[in-house]
Amino acid sequence: MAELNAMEPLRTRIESTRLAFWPPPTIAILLSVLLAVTVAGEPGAPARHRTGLPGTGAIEGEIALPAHAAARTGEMYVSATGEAREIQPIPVVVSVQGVMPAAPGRPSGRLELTQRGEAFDPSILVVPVGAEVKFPNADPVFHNVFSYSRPRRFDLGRYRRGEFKTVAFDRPGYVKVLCEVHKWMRAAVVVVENPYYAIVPETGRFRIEGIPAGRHSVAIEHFDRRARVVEVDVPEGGVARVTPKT
Amino acid sequence: MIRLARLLDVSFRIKLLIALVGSVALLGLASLAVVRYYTDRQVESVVHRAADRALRALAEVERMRRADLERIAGRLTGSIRIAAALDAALGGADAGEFVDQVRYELTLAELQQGLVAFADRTGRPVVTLLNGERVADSEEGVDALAQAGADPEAVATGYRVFHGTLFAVQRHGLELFGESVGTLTIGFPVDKEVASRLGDIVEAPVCFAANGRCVAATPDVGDSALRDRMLDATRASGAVFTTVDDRRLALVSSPLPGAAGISAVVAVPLDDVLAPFDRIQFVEIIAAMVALGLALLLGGVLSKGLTSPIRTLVAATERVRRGDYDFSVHVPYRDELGTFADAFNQMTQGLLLKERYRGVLDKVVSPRVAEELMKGEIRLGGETREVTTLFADIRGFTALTEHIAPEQVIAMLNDWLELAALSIEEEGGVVDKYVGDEVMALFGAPMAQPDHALCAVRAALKLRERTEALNARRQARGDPPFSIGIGVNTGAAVAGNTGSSKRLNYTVLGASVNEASRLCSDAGPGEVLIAEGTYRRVAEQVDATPLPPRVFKGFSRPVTPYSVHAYRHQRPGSSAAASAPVALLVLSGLLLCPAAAGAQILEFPTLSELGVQYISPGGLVQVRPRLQTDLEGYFPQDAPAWHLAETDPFIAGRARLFVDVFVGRRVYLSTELRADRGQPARAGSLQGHLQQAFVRVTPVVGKNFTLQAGKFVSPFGSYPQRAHTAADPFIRPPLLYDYRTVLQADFVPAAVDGVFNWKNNPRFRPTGLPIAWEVPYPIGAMAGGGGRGWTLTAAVLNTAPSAEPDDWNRFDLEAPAGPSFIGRASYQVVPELQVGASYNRGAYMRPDVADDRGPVAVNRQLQETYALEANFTRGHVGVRGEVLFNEWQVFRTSGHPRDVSGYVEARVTLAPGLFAAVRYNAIRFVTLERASGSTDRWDYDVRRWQFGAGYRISRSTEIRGEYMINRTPGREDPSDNLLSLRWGWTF
Repeated sequence: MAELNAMEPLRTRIESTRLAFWPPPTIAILLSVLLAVTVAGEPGAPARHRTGLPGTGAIEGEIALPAHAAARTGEMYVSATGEAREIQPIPVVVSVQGVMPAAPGRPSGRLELTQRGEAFDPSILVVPVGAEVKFPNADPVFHNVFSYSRPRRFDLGRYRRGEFKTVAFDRPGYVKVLCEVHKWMRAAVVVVENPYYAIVPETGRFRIEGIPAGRHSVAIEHFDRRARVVEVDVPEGGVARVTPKT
Repeated sequence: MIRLARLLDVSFRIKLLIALVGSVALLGLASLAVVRYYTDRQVESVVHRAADRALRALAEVERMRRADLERIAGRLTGSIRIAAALDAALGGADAGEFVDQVRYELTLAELQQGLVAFADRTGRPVVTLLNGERVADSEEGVDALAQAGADPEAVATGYRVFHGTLFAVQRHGLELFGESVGTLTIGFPVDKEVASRLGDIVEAPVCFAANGRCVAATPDVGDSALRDRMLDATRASGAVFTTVDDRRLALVSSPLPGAAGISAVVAVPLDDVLAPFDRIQFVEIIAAMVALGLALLLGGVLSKGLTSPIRTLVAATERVRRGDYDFSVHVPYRDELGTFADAFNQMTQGLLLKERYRGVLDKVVSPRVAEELMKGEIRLGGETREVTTLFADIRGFTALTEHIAPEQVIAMLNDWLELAALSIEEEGGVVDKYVGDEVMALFGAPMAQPDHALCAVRAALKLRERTEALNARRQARGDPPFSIGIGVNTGAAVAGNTGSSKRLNYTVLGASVNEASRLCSDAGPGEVLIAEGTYRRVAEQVDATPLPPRVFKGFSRPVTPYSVHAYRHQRPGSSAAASAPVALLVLSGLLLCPAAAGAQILEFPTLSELGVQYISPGGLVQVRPRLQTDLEGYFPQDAPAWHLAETDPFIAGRARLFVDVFVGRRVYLSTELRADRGQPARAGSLQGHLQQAFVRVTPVVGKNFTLQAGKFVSPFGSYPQRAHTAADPFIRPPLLYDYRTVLQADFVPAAVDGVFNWKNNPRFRPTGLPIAWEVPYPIGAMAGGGGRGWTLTAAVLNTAPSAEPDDWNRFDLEAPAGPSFIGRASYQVVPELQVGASYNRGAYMRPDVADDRGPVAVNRQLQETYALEANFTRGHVGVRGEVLFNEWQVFRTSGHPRDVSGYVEARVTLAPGLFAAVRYNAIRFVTLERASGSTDRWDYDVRRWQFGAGYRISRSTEIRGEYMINRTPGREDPSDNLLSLRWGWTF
């Protein structure tokens, strides 16, 4: 938390969606943190962007989240402990495409996609191009994490609890991460070339600020959907609305 | 019209010939048409079944392969890697990875052959693997299926042509995290191998055609002309019949399910199907030709034989017409014509005799009186009736004859008397007598004559005219003329025969007669005098002048004569003359009208009538043969279940010779020899059997008690009595008797008066279980008798635990399961109604029955049957029925299966020789309760309807037909409806 960068508050928000799988004390801590960040961040951080550099604008929009289809199959996923599991939900991510002057900072050593409780934690991870992500196994069971996605294809095989493998993501794009062993586990690693993106919360509303004015391609991506790219004119000091119909 | 009339104007002989030959030709044509009809039906059924079988077999092949395909498809669709790889490939990743992944899974699933294709959700192909190798994606074949089911969960199946190969395919949906990502189409090739398997099953060349191309075929299709024809057949709506390489084929195309434009074409070989029909047709044509030839020959002989006596008789009739009775005709037949000739001869003899009598009689009495005498209608003794009497004589005859030679006198007198007789007879009068030169005539007697007065007057006028003419001729010759006087009177007179019993004289007596005589004497020359009585009756028709009254000698009162001058009016014409031709016409029409056709053509003498029999002098020993032939046709009406063998229509013939021997009144022997192709009828070789041979003894003549032993048809229920007479209106027995023995002693065998006997009928396709494995024509002994309406019968006979006829002829220790006992009692309640009960007990299965573990010795398998029967007949209607309760032992089974069966039938005689009948039969098996408490359903219930009709054409021959409907409740098959036809002859 010391090196608070642009990605940090986003991560925190995502964590809030995972509360159910966290032990109660952690929930309490996280809740307090979340509240603190929200209260502190909402007026503060955006204000910095809004007043920010001249020649920048913002994008905001609202996205109807795709309804989850798990119920449709009628298939029940059962964990090793006998619990009924559902397909891991993954939020939509909206990102401005292309290399920008404001490149995302170098990734820290803490970029991790942990297999914990027979789920990926977090379910979405936005990393800059060139980031190396660790895939630690925190479960007493084996996983076999793999991806066939075009930006990065990998197959980590099986490894014990406490061990991890690292994957470097050199090309931008949406990488779907799956586990061959546990068919409900899924996660996405979004490899970005600039810091302008948003992970859309359950409300569906998002806002990205400090984007250099001008015409940009904005990609709206979700695990279950093809990427949708819309062209957006970001006015200087203004707000461009993106409300794709899903 | 004239030409037609001329065509019809041929001799009776030619007509007979034409009728005979025409009938035979018509019969031949009709039977050809029937054969043709059933050929077509059979071909249709075979073709349909072959096509059906091909599709079933294909479905079966597919079903076996589908399990494989589903296993592989399950592996592919269940793999998250496959789904993820497809998802990635759709997202733009390298499809090579995907292909590798799929290939890896296919290797694990050991799928080497076949089609594996992936498509996205819209059906666009992504990756296609053929036999494990990636090939160019083709929208052909895959997309149609992909779009076929909107629901990716559903598995769609069908057939597709892909890269020139036909595949039976399935489509499965692929999902990733509950989202459909695309589809998997997986299929196995329907290739030459599959086609060959189908070809082996249907025993016919098979070709799969898609869009006018042959995509797979049995090897025998090849590149031949057959292939082109088969491809052509896909465009036809029904079966196409063709000949390829001298083989007759029916090409039938069936579209494959779930595939447009793809069909399986089967070339059903028809040679085997048509062979029996060809044989039948060939035999029929030959038979028809022979029959035609025979008909021509027979017709020639017959018509000659038939017409020659007719011609003889016609010639004889002509002679009779000319008045020649003194001959007799000779017809060497003992038939109706012979009888006719005899009658004719008697007639001519009678005529001749009558003519002779008449000739004599006519000379001594008037022809009319003679006629009446011939008729025997004149009574001795008199009667008073009103008559008109005419007297005529020659005036001054004595004086006239003085100067003439006596011969000339007689000649003159005879000339005139001839004229007198002629005139009198022309007017219906009767010359009563000649007295010298006088003639006395009667009108109105002896035959009544309503206008006798007028007739007499006209006769008188005629006589006067003719006498004048005669006088003119005499004067011309130089002979002296003479004059006559005529007197006529009408009045009551006594008419009758007078004289002794040896010699009679019919005459009239009375005052009016005397008066007429006096008038005659009183009449002047050429004068016709009539008295008052006559005048009153003829005043309207004649011109007459009254003369002064005069008193005749012997009469008290004066008489007023009238002198008649002329006849005034013409007699009104009579219609009698016109009615004669009409009567002739009607008579000739009646004579020309033929008797029943059957009696003319189809009636043949029996063997006995031909003299083929032996009767000892005194008649103690009598041997009487009788020959019976049947021709039967069986035509199955519906196809058997597809897994059963075909049942072809067939025609069976049979000849039987019955010889009955009677020795005195106590001993009767009977034998039946028959030649046929087996019992039941089958396509075996022609065999001869001794079907019956038994002796029956009646110990006390006149008592109803008999003993019988041998091999015979014997008494079980009411059925057998009909088995031996024409009373059974059906060709096939009731269901109950399909296998069952019937015994009857008190009815004579077919040889005596029977015509048809079901025992000779083949079982067609046995339906259901036999209720008793007993023996037609068993060997055994029986005793029977009764009185006061009761009939009791008991018999011991062999049972044979087999349906093989060979076993039925054995009564040794090895063959049968032992003897059976049969008893029956019946009682005639009223003359129309008879009721009875019967009981049967015996083994139905041999003791050394084979278990599935091998031969085992088991106890005798006994069967017991109780039956009730009733028989009602009144007038043209008969109704009868029987119900049986049957139970038998089954080894290894504690319970005994039971059944209830019965039939009821009605028969009506519509016209002499013509009958119709209907019968309903059923067998109902009762649920078997085992000792363990479990129950088994003996599910062999059968119901049968029979509709029959027959016509006895003549004493010699009968035709009958029957339609039988069999149903096994609760099952589609087997149901073998059967049309049976029979033409039987007895001699």
